[in-house]
Amino acid sequence: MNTKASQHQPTRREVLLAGASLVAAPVALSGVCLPRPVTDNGRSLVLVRLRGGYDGLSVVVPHTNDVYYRGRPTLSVPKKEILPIDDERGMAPELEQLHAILLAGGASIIQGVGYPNAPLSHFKADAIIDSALPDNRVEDEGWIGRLRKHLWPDNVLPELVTHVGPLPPQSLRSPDRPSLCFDTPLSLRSLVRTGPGASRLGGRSAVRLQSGEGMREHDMLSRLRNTGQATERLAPEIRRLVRRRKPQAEYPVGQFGESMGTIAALLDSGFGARVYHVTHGSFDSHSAGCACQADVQREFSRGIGSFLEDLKGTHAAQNCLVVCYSEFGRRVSENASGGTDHGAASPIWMFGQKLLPGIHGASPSLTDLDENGNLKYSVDYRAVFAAVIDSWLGGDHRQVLRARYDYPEWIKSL
Amino acid sequence: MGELLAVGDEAREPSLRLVRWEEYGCNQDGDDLGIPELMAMPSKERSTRLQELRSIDKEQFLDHVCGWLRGMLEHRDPVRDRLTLFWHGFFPTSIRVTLRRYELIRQHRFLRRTALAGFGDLLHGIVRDAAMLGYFDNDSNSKEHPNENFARELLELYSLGEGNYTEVDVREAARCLTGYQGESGHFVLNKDLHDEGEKVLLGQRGNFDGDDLAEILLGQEACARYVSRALLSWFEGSAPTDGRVDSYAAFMREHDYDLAAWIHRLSCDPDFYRDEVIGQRVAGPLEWLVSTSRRLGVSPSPHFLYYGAAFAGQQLYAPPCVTGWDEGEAWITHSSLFQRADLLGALLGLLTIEGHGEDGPGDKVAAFLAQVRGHGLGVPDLAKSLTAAIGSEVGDEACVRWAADNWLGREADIVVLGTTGHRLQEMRKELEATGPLLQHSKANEVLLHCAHTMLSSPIAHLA
Repeated sequence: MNTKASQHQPTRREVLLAGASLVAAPVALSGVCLPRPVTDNGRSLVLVRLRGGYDGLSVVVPHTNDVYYRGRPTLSVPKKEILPIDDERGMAPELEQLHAILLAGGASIIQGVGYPNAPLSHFKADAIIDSALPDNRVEDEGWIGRLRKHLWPDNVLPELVTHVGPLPPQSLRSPDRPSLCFDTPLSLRSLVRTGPGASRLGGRSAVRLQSGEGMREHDMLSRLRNTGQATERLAPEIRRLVRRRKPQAEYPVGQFGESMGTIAALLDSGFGARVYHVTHGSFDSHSAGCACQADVQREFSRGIGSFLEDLKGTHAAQNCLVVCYSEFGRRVSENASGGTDHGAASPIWMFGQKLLPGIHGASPSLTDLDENGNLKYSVDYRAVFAAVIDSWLGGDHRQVLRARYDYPEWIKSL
Repeated sequence: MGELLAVGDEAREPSLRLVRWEEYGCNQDGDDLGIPELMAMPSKERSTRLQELRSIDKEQFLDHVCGWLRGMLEHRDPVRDRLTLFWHGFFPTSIRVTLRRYELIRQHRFLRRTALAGFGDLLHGIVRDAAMLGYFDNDSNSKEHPNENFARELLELYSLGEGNYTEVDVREAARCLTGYQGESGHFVLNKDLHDEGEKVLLGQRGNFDGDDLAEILLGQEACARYVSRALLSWFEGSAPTDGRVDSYAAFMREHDYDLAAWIHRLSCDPDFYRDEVIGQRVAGPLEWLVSTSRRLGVSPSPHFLYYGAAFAGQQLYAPPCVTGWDEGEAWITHSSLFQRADLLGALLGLLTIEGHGEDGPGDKVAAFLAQVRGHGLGVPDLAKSLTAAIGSEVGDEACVRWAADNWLGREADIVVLGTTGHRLQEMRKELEATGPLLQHSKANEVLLHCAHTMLSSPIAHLA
């Protein structure tokens, strides 16, 4: 892959040609790795965690492959409904927006992403992906926790890394750098009237500061107090920024669309976050998955479509890269319940103005499967993270991932 | 301990009608099953009748949950209630998947009845539980097309834990479970789908079925370790050391998985009361709401507890995934502190739906307040309880100290006492109130805000 970064609209043929094998093998680091000074390039990252196992064959559909139709008698996309990409590949109709974005050169798909010795348990696979360490090691600190310390070592503010959603994700965990986690902007306020004396309190919220400086405290309590303090400081700002900005696109109803709308508003208002995180799913459709999986995909497609539309022409759009990834894929053949069981390789979506658009990585073989009957991976997910860390954020991935990963030329276009 | 466990179980269950779709001639999708009464109806009437049945199913489910919550609030059988909540998170099923909610009621009754019996009884029962089998699509697990969904979670999440079995074990376990189905809330073995062939798993060979599978799992050393680790983490709020897990796992195996004995040992263990454990565990929304209500001496309706816990992130029978809820620190986010503050405000009567319009789709407070409208508890009379306890002539400091001792449920530190005292003085100034607080006409209003200040502080979320 020696294709240079290009800003022009790719032709169909170019989109097709972007696909090629790009096995990236990790090279373990021996000895101590000298830190390289990092200069902040001002760019942001939006991570979308697709939960539950994301089915690559429902994204890039091999609509000329009989193995696909034989393996999925009820789940396959009928040929007449396929949104075409090229002669052999197409997309499911529910990915209408993403299909258009891909053809317009605003997206890239990396096919066949996975890693060696991948377990088929969500729990374990989540822990491995969220740690992103060599040899599938798992640690309490997530890879984003390490990333922030590497890129922005002096910034200890929680909002530097912001998750929008009700539950805090594992990849953001850090023992000493808590990240911001909130459900919706409206959830960042208390409705309780402050009662008698309220005038003197200046409308202060019910989540009291109660800082315990100079006091001996147990860990958990001081962590909760820090959370309370950050909340007190950030809640009014976030609500103001989101309220002030008029969205330039209509977002789909639901948690994902709302969260993407919030992220767009914060990105475009210069909020202090550099990494945004949101989850979407579940894609874990073991049964009669067709309709339900389609709904989750549609919401994803519309949410991303609205987000890109909303930010079109802004400085924020030039400075943000969206990366969407899952813990694993799904099995090639459907099960007796009309769903698919846990698989191995799955695709990663990326959206941004500087990336080389198209479909990258070879389409996984539907017949040459691993020992569990799953698609073989050809790209290590850590190599993708490495490319994002180096090429997009200007860091040194070895410092974050604790090993060196080779990644292909095209991704350097970021 | 014995005393706590003595209170009967079945007596408190509300009478259940347990409407079953099948009895009315249709399944949950509304397909006719040939019952003349329903078949004879014109289609419009039939769809109305179906809707009625659906709402009865929902209603009886809510009645059932409310019975459980009422019991929690009244402290009728607290250890069993806690364990039932634990097992509900350990063996989660979801209202979002299980359309026939009476199956969830049956499952709850089973978990509750068995909560303190043996883990072996739990595992054997859960393998034959209709709601569980439905949740994991085991109805379509057949010898021709094994579906390994339930088998995998059974090994990974409900007995052995990751790393203690192979992919071959998962496939063989799925074969053991073929033909295991629920029918009208009861277990049936569908012999046509069951694989009678020989299976080899976890070093054993035989024509095993699901019940044999449960027995094989219980025979693994990893099982007692996995269950002990889960229980210790939950009760102590932090990950136990391997040594501690081994010791409790050995005890569990020696006692044939007897849970009452296991809990008794924990409650007598000095290490259970060590500094790193006491007051360091973030209480889950339901636990926080119930214990706060009890300490304040207020009696919210069970509806309030059900919707309130859901508002704060813990909807019963709808855990986020197959691993139940992420417990501990994961309960606290920057927005959940506000949600708990609002929930407390509603509990204290400081927050009502009147005068609050919905701000937009993300306004979950408005949705919550609408859900509990009509189930309100009025404004609690805290002044009355304080007066009864310490008389009406005491000074402010004594009031705050009594409130902290009784409402917080733990030793209050100077930060909480100081902030609450400061709040009280501010309100005094505003009201131009002199003399003993409890003799003032607005004493209760002041105390409600003091309670809100005190109980929405971070320390109040730790148990």
